[in-house]
Amino acid sequence: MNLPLLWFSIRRHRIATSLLFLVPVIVGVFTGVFFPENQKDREMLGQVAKIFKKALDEEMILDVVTPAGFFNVAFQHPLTFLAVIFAGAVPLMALPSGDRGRGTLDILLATPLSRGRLVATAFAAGAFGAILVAWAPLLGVALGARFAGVADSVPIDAFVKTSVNLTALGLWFTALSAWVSVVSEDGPTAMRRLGSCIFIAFALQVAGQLWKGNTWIRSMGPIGWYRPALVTAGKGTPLLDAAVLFAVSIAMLGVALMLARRRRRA
Amino acid sequence: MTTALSIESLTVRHGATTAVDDLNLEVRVGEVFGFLGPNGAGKSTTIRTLLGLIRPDAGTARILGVDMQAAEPSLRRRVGFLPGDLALFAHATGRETLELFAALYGTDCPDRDAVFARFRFPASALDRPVKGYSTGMRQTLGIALAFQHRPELLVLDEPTTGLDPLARDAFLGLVADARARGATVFLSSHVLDEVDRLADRIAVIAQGKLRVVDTVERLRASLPRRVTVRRKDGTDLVFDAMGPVSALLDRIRGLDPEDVEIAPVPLDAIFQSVVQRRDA
Repeated sequence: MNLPLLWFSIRRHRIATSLLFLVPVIVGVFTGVFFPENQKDREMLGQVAKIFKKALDEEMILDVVTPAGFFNVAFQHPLTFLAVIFAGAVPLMALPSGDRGRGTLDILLATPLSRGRLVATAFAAGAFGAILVAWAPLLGVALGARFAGVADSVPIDAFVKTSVNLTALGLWFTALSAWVSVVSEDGPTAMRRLGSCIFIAFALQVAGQLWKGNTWIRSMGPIGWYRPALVTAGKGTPLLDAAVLFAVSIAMLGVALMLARRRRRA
Repeated sequence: MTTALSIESLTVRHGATTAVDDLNLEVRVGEVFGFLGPNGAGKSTTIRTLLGLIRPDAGTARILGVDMQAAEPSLRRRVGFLPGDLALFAHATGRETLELFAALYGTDCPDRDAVFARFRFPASALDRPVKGYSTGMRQTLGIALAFQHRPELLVLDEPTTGLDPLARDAFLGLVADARARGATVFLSSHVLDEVDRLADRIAVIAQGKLRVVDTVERLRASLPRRVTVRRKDGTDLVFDAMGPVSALLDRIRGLDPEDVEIAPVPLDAIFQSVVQRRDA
């Protein structure tokens, strides 16, 4: 890893990372704003949740009438997923693939920087963004719960474990972005390929939820190893799930580094 | 070591096209070497292969005695590079760009201020994002990136693209300074006049093949000189002459001359002659 380039990459994407950090925070705060204060509203919401429970795999739906279940939404919201994924991916779409397309990669690799160190540094910049944004929902939930006046009823311990799990999920997509970026000739090509991979990951998750009794489909994709509802219910294994995601991330990064070294052209 | 750069049987293919075909070349330490060729001749591919940015299909390219494909990246600390199609980080300021590259090279960059002083580059512009720079300013920044760490070998691909005549002169002075301190300069250019002023030797490449390597003087001597004789009766006689000077002087004397002008063979004539001769 090269520290000057890492610092340069972080500064280069500081606006995008800051905006992506705000997304889960806003989702968490809005969760607090919409938290139903009276019993009647909660019961009505509970009826809606029952409909989803029938349609989807039950383990994904919590009892939303409780603060623990309601604020879990901030960790499962699609915007939260996308913010974490893109916070890791943006630096890697720029380096190496984006800079390869623009021509800036040549002057970087004409310095004493090796291809492997360049990709490792870009991964580190992506990991920094992914980790930062993965902890944003916790901040949002803390603010939202305080706003709703239920700060004492929110299971912070479970949400911390969920954040660790979300961090691992973010690193998984960051490592995937590194792989895609190394094999792509320019930024738009890398973005298209990464978009396809994200679509497949979400498709596996949705298919696993809709096709009851076939949870193995979910475990084929990375999102299947992120189960915030189970963690909040005290049934999940967030650290094991995080370890699986982390191990696969390391393996993918290893492949990306090997491919970078073997590339015929910078 | 007397060889700064050597290329042996280098072949690079882009799919079905052979960009560089069995190229052999040697550049001595301390010389300014002009690398010429028409568009698409394989100059930039050769340069990128030299720097290890492209892996060749066959042959080797050595810089300062080391094969760049197998070399430690730290060797590049001794090399300064300016690409032909220079692209910089648009969002970064000039100063951020310079500092990034200084950190990547891991040196103090003793020549940075001298480069900007020579180009009369306004210091305040360094704090502006590169995307607001003119083409000439960007090129000047690129030249500074190549020269700032005082490298032993400079590989410059079309270095004066977008520079005005004053900046061009500043660049020529910079290369002269580099030569004076013993650096080797590998210079690819379309501007034959500047190659003529700087280069000790030139190589001409066309369609990926090396056509000629020699000193400019020897190549000049191989072409006819344009002679204009003003005769005493007021008429002008223009002819091309080759061979020994004594024979030429005898011929001119027989023409009853009032004035004689013998034009030096321009480098572009040499270039055209070499490329067209072999094409034919």
